[in-house]
Amino acid sequence: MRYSKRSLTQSILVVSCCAALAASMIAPPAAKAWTSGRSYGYSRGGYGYGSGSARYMQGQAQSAAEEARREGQRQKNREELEKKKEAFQTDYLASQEAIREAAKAASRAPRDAFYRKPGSTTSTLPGAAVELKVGDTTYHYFSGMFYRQIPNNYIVVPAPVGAVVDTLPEQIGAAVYNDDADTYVYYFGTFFTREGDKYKVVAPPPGTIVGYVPDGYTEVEVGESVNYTFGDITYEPAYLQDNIIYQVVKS
Amino acid sequence: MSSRKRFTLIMLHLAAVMLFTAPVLAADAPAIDPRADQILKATADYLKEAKAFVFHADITIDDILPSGPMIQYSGSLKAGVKRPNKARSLFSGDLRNSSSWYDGKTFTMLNKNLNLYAQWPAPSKLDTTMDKLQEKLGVSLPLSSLYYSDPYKRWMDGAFVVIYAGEHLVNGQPTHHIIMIQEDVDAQVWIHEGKQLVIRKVVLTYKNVPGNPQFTAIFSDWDFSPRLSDLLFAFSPPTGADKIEFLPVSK
Repeated sequence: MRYSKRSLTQSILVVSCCAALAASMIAPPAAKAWTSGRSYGYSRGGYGYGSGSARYMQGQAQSAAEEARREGQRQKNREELEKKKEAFQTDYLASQEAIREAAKAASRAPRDAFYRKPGSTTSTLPGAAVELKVGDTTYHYFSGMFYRQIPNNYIVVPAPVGAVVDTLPEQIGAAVYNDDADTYVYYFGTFFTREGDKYKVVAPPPGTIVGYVPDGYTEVEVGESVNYTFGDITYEPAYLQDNIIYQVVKS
Repeated sequence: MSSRKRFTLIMLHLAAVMLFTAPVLAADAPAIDPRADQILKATADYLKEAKAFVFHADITIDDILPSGPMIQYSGSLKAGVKRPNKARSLFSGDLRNSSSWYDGKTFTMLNKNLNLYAQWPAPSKLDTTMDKLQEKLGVSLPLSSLYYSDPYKRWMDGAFVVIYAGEHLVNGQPTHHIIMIQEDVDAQVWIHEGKQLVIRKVVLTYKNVPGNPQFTAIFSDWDFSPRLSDLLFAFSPPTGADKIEFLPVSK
């Protein structure tokens, strides 16, 4: 007997549909409940659906009890997870804050360098400090730091633009540049240019890049970003390759 | 001239040409030890065929101080790749603590110490992203040659001598020690042959830099069938993080 490919496919389809219809009439209506746990599978009782309604009802009751027990366990697990998340969040925030504080305190300045942040006071100047004038204002200079006299004390101030000094600190950082190929010596927020055998404090043009902003800066939120202001100079942090640098945006 | 004499002359001429040009050709063509080549290819195939992989590397980086002495910094890298277009890395070290995310659309780099991050709209393919990162931003992820779809091609690019140096130990385990000589860098790779061929150590010597500083990576915890959720590659800013820009190194 020969069948065409089409008629054979149609026959299989019809038989399959009839079988499915018959099965749906025999099988219990809430078949989905039986899929929720492994113990309700087919392995122990075979297919078992059509073997009697008492057995089916017993199974339903067991299923409901088991499901309630499982839901209870799930709720307990959820509560434990929430507690863990809360504890983790607290630890995480604390560690992040510690990292930020450590970074601010330590990572932005050259090590072993003499630095006093603006606003620091001292009753006595270092012995090698020299007096100098910028306009009518008198300053005292020592190792990259500028002081002004206040009653009973001296206070560290940002370097005044136009000041000319004879010496720079030993631990000066690398020279910094901008797009105009101007070269500066940068030391804790102060930009010096060479003038004969002396060094003059200048305001860097926007675009000049430095590797750090010294301790004593203030943060200014700009949208979702941040700028740092030190003295009269405002810096914008950016990635240059994989390093964070600070670009002068206002001086 | 008889045809036999002419034939002899032509052959002598050809022999002379070959004698003088052969060394030139040999100097231009890379000298690659077949055994080393076979091992490198097989190792790269594991990386190439893995749908995802993760590894850990302890890294040391030499830095030559301006005054001459060498200082070595350390760091720990955890990296993961999910092909075709996801990559993640976490680096904790003396010089920086940074993480990067690439989710097939955006590349993000976070400086954990300063809590600053930058984002860059990245190409949709991992290979192109790595190339463009280098070209546009000057960013090169550590050990990024492993991330490429064809690591073997990356390793051999520019290598003019590849030598099988022998079976040598890394952390007490025998490995294939292979040397790849390039114009600026000599690369040494140690590959362990167990169930899989895996890289155990890499040393790069920057031979044209004064002091010949080295980069060393000791690998561990290779996993070629990790379960990496897509969420792992999606960046979510940490609390208080500020967004900054990448400064382009090329237009």
